[in-house]
Amino acid sequence: MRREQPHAGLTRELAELLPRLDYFRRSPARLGGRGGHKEWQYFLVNAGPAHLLVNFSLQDDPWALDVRRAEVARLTVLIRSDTWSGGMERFPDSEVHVLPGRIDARFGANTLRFEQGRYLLALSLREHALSAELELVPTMRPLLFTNHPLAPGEHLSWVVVPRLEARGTVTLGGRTHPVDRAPAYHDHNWGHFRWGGDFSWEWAHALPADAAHPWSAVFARMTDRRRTRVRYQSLFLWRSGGAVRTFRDRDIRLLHQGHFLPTRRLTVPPEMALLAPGTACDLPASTELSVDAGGDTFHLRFAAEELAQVITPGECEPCTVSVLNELSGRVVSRGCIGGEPFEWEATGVHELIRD
Amino acid sequence: MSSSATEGPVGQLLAESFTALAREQPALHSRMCTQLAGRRLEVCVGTERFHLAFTADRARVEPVGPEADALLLTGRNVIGDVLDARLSLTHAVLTDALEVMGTLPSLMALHEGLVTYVHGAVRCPSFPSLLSRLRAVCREDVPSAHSTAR
Repeated sequence: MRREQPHAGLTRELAELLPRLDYFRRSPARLGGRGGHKEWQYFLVNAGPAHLLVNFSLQDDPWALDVRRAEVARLTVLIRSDTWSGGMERFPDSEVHVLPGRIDARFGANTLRFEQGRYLLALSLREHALSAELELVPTMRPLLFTNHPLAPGEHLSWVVVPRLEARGTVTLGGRTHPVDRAPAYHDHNWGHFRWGGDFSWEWAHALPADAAHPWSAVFARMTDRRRTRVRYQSLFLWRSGGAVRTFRDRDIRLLHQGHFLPTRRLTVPPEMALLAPGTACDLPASTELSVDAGGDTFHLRFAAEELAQVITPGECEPCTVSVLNELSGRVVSRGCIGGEPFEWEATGVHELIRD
Repeated sequence: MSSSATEGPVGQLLAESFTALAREQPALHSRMCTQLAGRRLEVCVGTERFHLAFTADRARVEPVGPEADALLLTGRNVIGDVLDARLSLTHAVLTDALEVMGTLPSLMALHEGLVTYVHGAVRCPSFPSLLSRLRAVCREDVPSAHSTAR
């Protein structure tokens, strides 16, 4: 495998570019505009023996009594070692400071900032013995997608930073683990939509064990709620700092195999287990993604290992829930793009929405 | 609407929650009351005892009451374990960590009403603080042998 360091020029370029793309939008309802806004800043860090998932979320509560003060801040921090652990915490207005137009947020003792080309995360959950201090340096150019339709009148925008290099510490159960040059992923989503609307998505990303591995891939597929019709799907490939290839729709063949039978799961927040009990789930044991287009090939196989479920109340029907399944597992991938063959093994997260 | 509280913290929180549910999720409050109309439940949580009574438009928490058609017996630690998903509701019942006694129609109605209550609870802006207070009350008890992860 060829090792490459991000060019200093790229680092400077990203330090200037990302604050102009990745800033917190915040809900227009705060200023009397449209409600139903959702936004989250998501990070995934392959911290050696542990996989860390961090989500700073601001979402309008559709049942809030005052629509101008409907935005609710939640932080989800999940860590997967042998199993998933962690949780979601909600913060009152008095503990939330988020600057719209900036990448700068404080939820209680937890902060997310962007300074000198680095994302800085300081995390400390109140209810779990889990904390982290991390700096993440972007090493690949981002992609921006705006107003992708989810369902009629509902859309989602997306900034993807497919690869970062993480340094710092993660402390779990009183034991501190150093993180040094660990591969990481970041994206930021925002838009107006309702959980339980006529859409469902699948999203996947794999982080190689070696941060110097030059390839990175992100897959996203949007379907209707019943998952009987694929509205669109995309596979994005980056190499050594830049996006090199995008495959769409009919280029991509996705095959779900088997039925994942988890022996356990993490439920977030835990009280939602009352509404979605048990470990039965409609999830594939493995997923194969294949592309053969224009002389380029790509193949990825994801094998599910552990399940965390983020469960949220349905916003379209009164007694429903939406489940974001965070499946972690092993990824094996190979391909040949522009005449250059590659292969990698990685840990990955496959996110699937189910009712 | 709901009624006056009992002397114990669980009953008081439950009474507050019925009031919040009626105010913030009236449709689900109404559905719950319809599902439980005419039912009476006696609840024993540790040393705390109270009764729940339901009419078509009202859920009441009462310190005492006439003979109930169902009895629920458990501990605060069990409630905490169920809330934190360390113990499933089903496993709690099957292991008698949470005992419920009553006729089958009563128990089915109680379960149906509980599910509606929770669907309403997770949509009420007031409930996160009520849930925090309930968790704090539940943590006051020593963890039980039922704290095994499920």
